[in-house]
Amino acid sequence: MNSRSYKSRLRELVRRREFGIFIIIVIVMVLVGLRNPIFFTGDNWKDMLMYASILAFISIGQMMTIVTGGIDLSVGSVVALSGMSVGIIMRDNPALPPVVLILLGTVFGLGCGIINGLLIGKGKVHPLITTLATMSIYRGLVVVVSRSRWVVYGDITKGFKLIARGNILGINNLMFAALIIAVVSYYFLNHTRKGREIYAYGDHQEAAKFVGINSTRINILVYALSGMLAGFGGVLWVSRVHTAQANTALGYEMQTIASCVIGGVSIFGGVGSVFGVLLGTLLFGIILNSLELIGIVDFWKLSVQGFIILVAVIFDAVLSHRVAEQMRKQRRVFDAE
Amino acid sequence: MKKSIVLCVCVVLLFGASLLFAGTPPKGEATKAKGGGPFTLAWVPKGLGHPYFISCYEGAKEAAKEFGDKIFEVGPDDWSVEGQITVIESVIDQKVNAIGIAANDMDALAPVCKKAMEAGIPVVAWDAAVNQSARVTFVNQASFEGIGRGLASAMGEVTGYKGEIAVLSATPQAPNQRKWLSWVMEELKDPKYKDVKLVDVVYGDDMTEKSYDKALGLIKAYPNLKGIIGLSAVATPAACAAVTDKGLIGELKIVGFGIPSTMKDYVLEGTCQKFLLWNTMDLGYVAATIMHKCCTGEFTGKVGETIKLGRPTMGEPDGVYEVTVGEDGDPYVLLGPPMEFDKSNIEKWAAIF
Amino acid sequence: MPNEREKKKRLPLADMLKTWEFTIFMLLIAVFVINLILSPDLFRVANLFDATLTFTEKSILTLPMALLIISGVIDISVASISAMSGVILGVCYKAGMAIGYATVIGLAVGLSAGLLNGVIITRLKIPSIVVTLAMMLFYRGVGYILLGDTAVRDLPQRFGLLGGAYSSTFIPIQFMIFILLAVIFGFLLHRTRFGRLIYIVGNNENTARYSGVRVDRIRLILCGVTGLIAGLSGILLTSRIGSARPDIAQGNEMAVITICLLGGVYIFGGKGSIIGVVIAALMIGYVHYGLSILNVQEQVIRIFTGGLLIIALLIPTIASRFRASVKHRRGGS
Repeated sequence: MNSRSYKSRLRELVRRREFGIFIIIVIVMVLVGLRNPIFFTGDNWKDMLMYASILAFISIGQMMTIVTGGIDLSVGSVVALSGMSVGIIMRDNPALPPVVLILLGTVFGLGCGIINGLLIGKGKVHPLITTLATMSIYRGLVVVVSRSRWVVYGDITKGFKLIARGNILGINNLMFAALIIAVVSYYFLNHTRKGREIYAYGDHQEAAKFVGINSTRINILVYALSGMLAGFGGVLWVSRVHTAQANTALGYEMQTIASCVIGGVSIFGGVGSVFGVLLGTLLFGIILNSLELIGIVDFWKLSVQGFIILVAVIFDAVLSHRVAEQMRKQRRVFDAE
Repeated sequence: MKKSIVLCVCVVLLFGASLLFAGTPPKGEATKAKGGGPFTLAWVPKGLGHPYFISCYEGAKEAAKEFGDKIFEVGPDDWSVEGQITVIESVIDQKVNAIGIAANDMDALAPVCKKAMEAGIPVVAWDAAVNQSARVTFVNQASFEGIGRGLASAMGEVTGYKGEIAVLSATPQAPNQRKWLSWVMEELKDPKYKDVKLVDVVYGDDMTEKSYDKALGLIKAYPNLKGIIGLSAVATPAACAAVTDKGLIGELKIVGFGIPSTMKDYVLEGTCQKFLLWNTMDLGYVAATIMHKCCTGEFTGKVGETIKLGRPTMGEPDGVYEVTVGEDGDPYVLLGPPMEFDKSNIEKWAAIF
Repeated sequence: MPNEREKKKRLPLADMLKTWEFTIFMLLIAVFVINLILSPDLFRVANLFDATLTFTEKSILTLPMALLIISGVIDISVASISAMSGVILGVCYKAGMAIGYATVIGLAVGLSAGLLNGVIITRLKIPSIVVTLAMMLFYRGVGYILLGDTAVRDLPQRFGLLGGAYSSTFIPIQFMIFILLAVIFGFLLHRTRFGRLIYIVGNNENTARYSGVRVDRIRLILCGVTGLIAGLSGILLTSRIGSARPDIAQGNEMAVITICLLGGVYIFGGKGSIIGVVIAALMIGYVHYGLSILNVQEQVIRIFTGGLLIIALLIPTIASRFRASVKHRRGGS
């Protein structure tokens, strides 16, 4: 009886958290819209969502690693490596259909992710350090494979450009991809055994071991998924901006982490939802893209970003302290009974 | 205890090792620098990978081959000031005979270039200058005034001298960008531009993605925008990509700098009406020739001095260049007037570079 | 602890050989030898000291960072603090302040930025990596807000000497600062009560708290010190470049953390030594120098440093597995 009431209360709070982000999004939208009505035009939304789409699914991959209590700092480099490799392959074989290129990029990303996963799962190296190291390594490989030559607009085939610009069922491809990935990962994380194991493992690694969850496999799985999504994102990235260069997506890992944190993913592991991350990405995307609209000078962008993340984190901390406090009180009551 | 031992051993060995190296006599090539060569030339672009700098290097290689010199390209892959300083430090230690640099920042690169000059390595700036005190000379691709006014008048022409326009530049600190911008503004003061309004100047850091996002931002923030001037060979194609993606071909005109091979599709599609560029291979060729002549001592960078090239260039059909005094009072070598590219000649030049 | 000391008395040399510091010291020597083989006439004493210029700014930051990580906190905003300090120094100078005062203000900015990090981390009990991630963006942004699209040029000549940049002294001033700081931090960590407390806090926060150690205060101090040194690092870099700009020191935080971890500092806190970090800093510095002399690009060099880091961290796992398998075989037979 009692335990259920804790649970329902907790669930309520978690729900409130996402509700909170939603409210913030609405407030931001209203404020920006009042300042500049252009904000509500379909065109503006399309730009914003195209930007947020790639960020969204890479952040979902990032979320899985954070939920296990790890982190993947290499996503930015994987985006660049996959994008550059695919760009070069396209330059050398312009006849290849875009679908093959997308698959290739995804496989490259998967490979990078599996390496991360093996090092973390089998090698027992801390995720932060592993991905810090592979971040440099993959970034360096971008320079090596490109031989210091960018893939530029002229090299990109018509079909490839269409990947980002085309539509499926009236929705832009990027958004479509993000939606599908979000739905699939929601199902995977919430309704499959493996998905629940990821949360269980992140919540309490020792306990998870006792109930027979294989930590090595979980680690390889999440980093492989994160790498795969980043590799897929790399192809779309190149298609969106029409270029691949050595510093493509530099610092992108920070943006994905920020979207997760804003979306309520706990850096301690075990907590986080796909929906929250989507909202977090959306908020992040709106803020990044609407500063120009409300006339904030570009130089403020970084500080504003940092400030928002900080607020989200502090909000989260205060909230979770309160939850912990409440639970402790209830437990005391329970013990007394 | 253990740690102190390790520390002592470490320090002693380190010093021992370094003294050992100190004992080897310097076999530096700098001593024979003023001889006949062949020389080793270090070619330092703003960054690696961009087609503009790749084509400059092609020209430089051509000149080096003529003289039998060894030339190599080395640059920061993050296009940063610090990266470029590190690169120059390392080529000084390699005792190259001359350095050709396209500076990412006029002042920040000056100390390290001065250090090179003090070590007896002549520094020739090309594309973007370092301070006069830290260079032998500067090969200027085109006069700032000519370029600035040329871009502004091209913009006026394609927009019919009215409407809002914006500038998409590279980095705010880059010396050439600043000067071009000021000449663009100077030209816009002319009464015939009274209906033209420069609404914003944004910076894409010479990175395609950022420039692209900036261009999108401009389009969003100024719905009545009629034209964008791209002030770098990265900014212009990025602006074109943004305009193409927004389906504004023909409504929003673009002029600027560009490389024919990257701009070809945009010009043919009608996104970009006109763009300017100097012959990049000539730029590299002239700069590398001067680097060689600095090594032999034939060239010292004084005003009035002339250099005879091995082949004619587009700007100077007789292949003779003279050191003149630039707009800011510092001596430099001027490459010649820029070329204009549009639908009529783009195909021909795109095949060349 | 006494047990360990007894062992050491018995086999001091063998014990020393097993330490991490010794391993990376051998690596450092290997780096020297390889460099010497690859480019014999370039590796001379003047060059060796000259080469330190390109990595001293990062190296001095590794010292407080090591202490911080040992105490169980990490700060990834250091590079941004460096940039912010440099910019504020430049802005103050431009506003007509004497360069000496401007430098002091730059340092004070670094210190207060570090303290702010510390306060948020310790008061609100938020993981330091998240806090400093946000602060990283925030501080970097402050530099851009203040200077925007300009840089402060024409800093005075004598300020340029601080970076040791191109003064004719045998040993660059920067490098001397590094050695001095290394001695101070080494003493602090290994010879004082405060140093012992840092280890205790990092080893087990709760135990430390219950036994009356003021965990939060120690961490707050260390955050402040890290900020201060980050400010110093930014000022040295500004001095070396000769102009204050908001975009300096990009990515230094990763380089600094890499050096710390290579130097044997344990990412979860509680383990590490200053000597290890100093050796690692020198090693990474000379790997960079040696490879850049061969005109290998910066990002390609990072493949080597990243690889080194992974190898360094895989060794314990492999070793323990090897030991386990040996034991298993012995037990089996």
